[in-house]
Amino acid sequence: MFTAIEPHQYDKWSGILDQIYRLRKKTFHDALKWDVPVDGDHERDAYDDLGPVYLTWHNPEGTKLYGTMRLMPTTGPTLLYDVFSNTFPDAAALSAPGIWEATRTCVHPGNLKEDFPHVPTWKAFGLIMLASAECGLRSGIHTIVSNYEPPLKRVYDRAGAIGEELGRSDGYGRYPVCCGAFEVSERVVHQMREKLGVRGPVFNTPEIPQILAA
Amino acid sequence: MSLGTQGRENSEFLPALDAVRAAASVETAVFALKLAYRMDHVTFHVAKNMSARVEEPYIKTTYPAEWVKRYLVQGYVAIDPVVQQGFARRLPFHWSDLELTPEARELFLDAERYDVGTTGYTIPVVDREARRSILSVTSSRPELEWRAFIQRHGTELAEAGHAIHRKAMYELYGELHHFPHLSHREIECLSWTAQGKDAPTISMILHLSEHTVRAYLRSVRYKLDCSTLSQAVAKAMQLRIITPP
Repeated sequence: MFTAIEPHQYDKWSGILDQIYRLRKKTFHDALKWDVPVDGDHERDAYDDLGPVYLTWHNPEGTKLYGTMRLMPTTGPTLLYDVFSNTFPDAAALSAPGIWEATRTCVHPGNLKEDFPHVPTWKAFGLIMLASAECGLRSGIHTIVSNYEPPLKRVYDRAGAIGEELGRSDGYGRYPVCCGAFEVSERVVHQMREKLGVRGPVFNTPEIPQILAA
Repeated sequence: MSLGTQGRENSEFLPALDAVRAAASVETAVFALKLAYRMDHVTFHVAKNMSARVEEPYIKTTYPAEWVKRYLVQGYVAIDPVVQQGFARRLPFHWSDLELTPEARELFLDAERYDVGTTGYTIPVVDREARRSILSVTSSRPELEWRAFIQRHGTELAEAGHAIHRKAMYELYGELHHFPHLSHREIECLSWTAQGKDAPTISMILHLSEHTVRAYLRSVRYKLDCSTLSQAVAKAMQLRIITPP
């Protein structure tokens, strides 16, 4: 199931949060070699203390994480604004109630392989993006600004997301880092469902759409 | 296309945002918002830890005085899920989606007798200093109609919430809104707007998608605290951010 975990639910989903920080450490510190703060097996930064929304894909029992994305409103403190203002001056400065920032997007290939062997990695990223668009659409969000490595852009394109690169930089890790603005609209959601082969909404839907389990 | 009619954000209900921004105080702003959207009631509430310097909680509301009094006397603030969760939540929410404790259910039943509205929607607001507040609006419309209304106007309501928040920060801390840094692209988009170009044209000139151009312009409008692009252009000229064409 795809849900948005907000601060009032942190206790309920504490196991999933623990897995999120572990997955982020493995992904961003170990694999991508980003300069991110690490505490034991966890990757957590100051923005995690501000109570962000964790858009997650996990099993209904809350014991297994498949993927995650961190969402924060750009009217408040954001990582892109504070950390990437010089790197992505245009993208990082975007600030309005309908514009949110997505960071630390990653998937758990091992757990996906176990429970969704028919869902390849690109599709998993696409589904998280789709869930964020569905969540945004019902929350008055029209744009999601996000940082990503260049290969992910091709993944998002393939999944039907409509985004535009607004800046790119070398020197963060193994790959350059890009920053882009993604459109949140009915047309994007429809296009993504079509490309991903999903018939109905994925966000906040208890039943995983049949097609995924096929 | 003339200024101010470009895109969804400028096509509807801008008089409402204008009225909210023009209001002399938060007190009058909540009444302006209520009137403009024909809400039953509007309440604006600054997070307590943020207004710790003042003795009283900072709440401005259009609720009838009898209900406000009853709410305070009963100590409802301690059990009101809209307040309890509103400051913890980040995404806007419908009150009908809240899981109610028995006490909260009682509160809602009690509220019905004071005509505060049968359904509600709350928007969490946050600023760069991580100061939080919530804007709540209520209505007596049927639930489905109300949800469709919110779906159409959620973005504008969020904008109204943030505009009221700026006023509240001024009332609480005497802090004038200092205009944040505009990026190169934002200034470019606004300059072309000043020369009468609409978003599709600007997107061709700058080789950007139309959506990106609109995002830059919305960001400019928010930063300059303006309800329309025309106002943003005028303000940017006054502040010498852009030069007259």
